[in-house]
Amino acid sequence: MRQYWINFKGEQSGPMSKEQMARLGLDESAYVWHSGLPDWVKISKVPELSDLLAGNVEAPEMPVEEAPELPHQQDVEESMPEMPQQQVVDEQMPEMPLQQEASQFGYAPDGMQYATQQSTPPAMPQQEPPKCPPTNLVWAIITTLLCCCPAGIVGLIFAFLTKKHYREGNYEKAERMSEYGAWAIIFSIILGLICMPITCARFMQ
Amino acid sequence: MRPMSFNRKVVITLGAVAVVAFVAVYLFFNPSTSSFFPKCVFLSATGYKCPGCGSQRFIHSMLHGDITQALHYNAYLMGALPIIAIYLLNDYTKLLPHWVDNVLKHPVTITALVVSMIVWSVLRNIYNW
Repeated sequence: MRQYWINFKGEQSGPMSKEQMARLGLDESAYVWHSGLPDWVKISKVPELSDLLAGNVEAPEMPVEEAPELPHQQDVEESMPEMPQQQVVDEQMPEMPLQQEASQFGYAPDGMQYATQQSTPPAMPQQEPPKCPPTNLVWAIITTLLCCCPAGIVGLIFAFLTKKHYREGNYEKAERMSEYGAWAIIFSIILGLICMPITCARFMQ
Repeated sequence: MRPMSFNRKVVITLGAVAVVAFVAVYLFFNPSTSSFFPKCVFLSATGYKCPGCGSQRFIHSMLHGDITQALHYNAYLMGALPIIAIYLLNDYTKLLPHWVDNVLKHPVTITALVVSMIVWSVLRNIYNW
């Protein structure tokens, strides 16, 4: 039975069997790694696990070798001839079946050689899951306190929402909240700048 | 260390000039007596003090080393300015370790900030701080 490592909502767990994974209620945002893979892959890219995804009741379809949603696979084939790469793998890897399986399913990431047969998963790459969008927190505090009118507190609330959605794995929502927060801060600064001359003039009389 | 890009140099120079000008203005002019300083929009509109009211007089007093007077103008800023400094350091330099970022932007921290600001603005209007 193959053992899997899971990275789901920023938390890493494993090794575990497929049956254990089924109890976690994973969705498309989960990443998975097993021995023989050079790096983490999205769970949807692993055909043997696709029936774990919620609402995916049908039997998993085996992807064709040249899967159209994986352009980098073609890059590999263009940049280096198929055979030499296979030979390298042959020489370095005693456990051929695993490696062949990985590349044959089309979810082995780019032209990396499968140099190591690790027993622990590699570090989760920085880009995926995506980095938290900027919270603009410090600018919200500065606009609130240094008197561009307290509308900056709206920016603080959006910073909170950004972080909250990010931690729950709603990356798109977090992105949107980050955007709103930035606009709230810009709005309050402009409002402050417009109102300043008015208040100055009033106090000068 | 990577050579700085031209844009970065421009930004850093302009930032330094702005900081020096800012400090100079608040060092040499007193916001309580000079009329050209901006007044709080919220205060003029509603008559209630906002959490940041008194920040200009606070900065003026601090630059003159008068801490009691500064506390009198805006006690909240005394605690908030170091926190703002830590946030800026964390966002724009790589000096602080990663866990600081996690603490500073934790939802609990943000909630605490918002609640403390609201409590502060209510209290200062009740007790006329």
